Amino acid sequence: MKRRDFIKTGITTGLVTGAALAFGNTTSIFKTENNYAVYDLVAVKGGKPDAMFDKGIQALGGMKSFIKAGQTVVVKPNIGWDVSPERAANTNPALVKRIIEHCFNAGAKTVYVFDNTCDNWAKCYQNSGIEKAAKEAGAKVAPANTESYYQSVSISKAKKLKSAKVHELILESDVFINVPVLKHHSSADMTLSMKNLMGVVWDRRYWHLHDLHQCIADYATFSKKPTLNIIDAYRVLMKNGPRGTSEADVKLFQSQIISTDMVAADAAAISLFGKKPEDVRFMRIASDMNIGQIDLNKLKIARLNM
Amino acid sequence: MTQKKLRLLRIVFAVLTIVSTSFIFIDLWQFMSSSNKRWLIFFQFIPSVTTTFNKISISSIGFILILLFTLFFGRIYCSFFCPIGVLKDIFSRLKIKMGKIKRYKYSLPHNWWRYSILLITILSIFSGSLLVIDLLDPYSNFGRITANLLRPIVIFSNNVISGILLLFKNFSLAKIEFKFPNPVAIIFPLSFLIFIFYLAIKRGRFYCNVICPVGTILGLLSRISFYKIQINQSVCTLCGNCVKVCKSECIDIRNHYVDVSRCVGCMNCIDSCSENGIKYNSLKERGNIVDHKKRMTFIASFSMLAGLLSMSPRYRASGEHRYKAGEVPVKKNFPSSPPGSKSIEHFTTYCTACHLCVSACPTQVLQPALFQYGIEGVLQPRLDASVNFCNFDCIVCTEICPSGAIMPLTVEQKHRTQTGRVHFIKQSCVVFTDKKDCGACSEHCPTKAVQMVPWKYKLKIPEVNNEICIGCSACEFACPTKPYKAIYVDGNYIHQLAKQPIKVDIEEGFNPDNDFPF
Repeated sequence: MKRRDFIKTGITTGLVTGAALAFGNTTSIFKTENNYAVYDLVAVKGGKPDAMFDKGIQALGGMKSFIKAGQTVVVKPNIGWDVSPERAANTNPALVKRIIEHCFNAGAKTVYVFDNTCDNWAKCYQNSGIEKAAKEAGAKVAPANTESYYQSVSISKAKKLKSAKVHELILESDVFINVPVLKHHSSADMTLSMKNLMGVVWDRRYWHLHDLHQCIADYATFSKKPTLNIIDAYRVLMKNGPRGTSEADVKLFQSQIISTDMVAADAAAISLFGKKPEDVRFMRIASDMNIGQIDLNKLKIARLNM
Repeated sequence: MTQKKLRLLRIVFAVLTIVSTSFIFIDLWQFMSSSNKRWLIFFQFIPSVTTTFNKISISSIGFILILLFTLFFGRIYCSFFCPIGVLKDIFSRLKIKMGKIKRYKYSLPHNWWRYSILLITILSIFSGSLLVIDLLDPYSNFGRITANLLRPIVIFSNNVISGILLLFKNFSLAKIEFKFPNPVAIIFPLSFLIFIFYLAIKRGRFYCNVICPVGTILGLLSRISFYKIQINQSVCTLCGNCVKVCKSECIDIRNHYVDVSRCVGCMNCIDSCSENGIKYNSLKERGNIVDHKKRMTFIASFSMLAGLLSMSPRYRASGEHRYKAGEVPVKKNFPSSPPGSKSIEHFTTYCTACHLCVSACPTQVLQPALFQYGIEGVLQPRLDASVNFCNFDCIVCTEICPSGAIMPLTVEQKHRTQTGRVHFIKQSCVVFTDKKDCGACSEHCPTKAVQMVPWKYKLKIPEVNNEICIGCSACEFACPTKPYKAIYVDGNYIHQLAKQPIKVDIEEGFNPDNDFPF
């Protein structure tokens, strides 16, 4: 019963939030008393990942704009591969650590960190440096390696991915913070906010088998959306993604993108990478499905230098 | 009398043996590193022999110490270090505890049986196959029992406890996914377990003295051991206490004779005698008794040694006819043997199918084969891409293998060790059939031997480069097509050196000194 209630509440809340995001004036929701959050998107460059986040989140009014005291938070980085942080196939551990610290400062009760990894999960958690960093910051590092952690949900607006098994921590969380790493991707061209959500579902083969780009966009319509997307573009895997073969594939961007809008965040990151957002098929689909704003000219952007 | 304490000493060693040997097979949480685990099975006879004939190292010479122990004290390996022997003692003990007081009595040796089995074993080694030893070796049998019967129970318990902790939002214990091994890998050890259980409760150490080739060879050697257990006729009251506790049924009280070739050195008899009438006597104490069976010992020992020497692959040309070496196959011709195993020939020659690597493999890609290696390689591990793929940076199996079948590799060597080669079937690929992007194979490839290249309709399709493929099977595992994969790895009969992944210079991309492009 308890679990069912959880899902019910989760989905309802999600639907309301989703509807508000879709039909309302997004920026006004996050407007605080200080009138900070007037930006749709924050781009920071020229510093260390943790310092850039400090500055970036301040431009959005701090983490308190997104987290209320006593809430349960999931921070979902990319921990997909058993490689060191220098290889840039996973989210930067220092960034993950700093985000968690901000969550607790904002009053979060519990912060969970997990990913459904591609390589052996225990090795990914360990060698990415994320498990250690997250635990140091006080987060609970949860496993996601067996199907039993996942719950079936239906995605009403989807065209191909009508249902999916989603990690229960996502469904039970109050706030869900998506922390992808910007990198080249052999199948999806680029991996970013929307693509990173593949790591909260169990069966990825289904996506690959039933039009990957459509499924990426489909899942982005699911009611339990990320509250905030923080794209790590400190080290960027330019070739041989998503795993990379050596540090030679990596280029230092020293940048970070923060937005509540997945499509906007991804569009900005793709521009950084040197491509046009419209060139990536899942971006076109997401734009057509009104998931977010692909046109960066229509956004109010804070461009920050360290 | 100090010799009375020998039984206690034996029990201490036996407990340590069974606990540590079980532990290395069920350490699912990696409490101990795989190279340290190797030391816990230092004294296991057959794996130590096979490793030494491969490459002599400190960690592999346990068998030499066992031979020395035997030359001094008889077959104490069987009671101190043999996990199957200890398991049988536990079974016999259980029966006694359960109230059915079992009394052993003297029986004649089954010489015809035990020496025939030894002969068959030696002949099969000469012919280049370790199959008979693999099936009878006590350590490997114990490994198969723990890996395939006990380990699933441990995984199940782990998951139950993990589930309970989850109710309290405690994520400290992760669940472990378990892939059911092939039925033979269950049936064989289960039958063996039932078989030795039955023999243990009926006849004590019957298996050790009739079937086990290690027992027989050590038994031959113990005929010439320096210390032997003997009955002192002058103090013996013929009470028969020693006979009743002798699991090997080798004490002939009427003739005051102890058959040392069958004595497993459990020391029960020494402990049982109130008159100190049965104990270890040195060569000097015994006087110079002529033993006609000594000659036989030497002959058999030399045969065994020669047999083991003959295992070196150059004598094994006869084994090759089942495989077509050196050809580029168009379908799966060979299974993939673990990295470090050099070739399928080397692997199947030295592997005793103890399943220690199967237990230790973090991704569980190592699974017991059925007949993929042929009958000789039954139950020997292979890379099974339907379960998982071989982790790029992992060298656990090369560190842990006790028999020399998988030789040590550094991580750098492993990165270049090609256990198999990738093959792509375009007609079966979802990009070709459905005209939709996929690329799961290329995503998972650690060397980018599978690249997505531009194709029709603005799509990208896999292109494979066999030269830099290492055969980890990540592509095959990730491929979503059913029932057959569109990309697969065919095992290399002889492992090859893969070329270095191709490095490309990066020119494009954002420079943080410039302004944002938006």
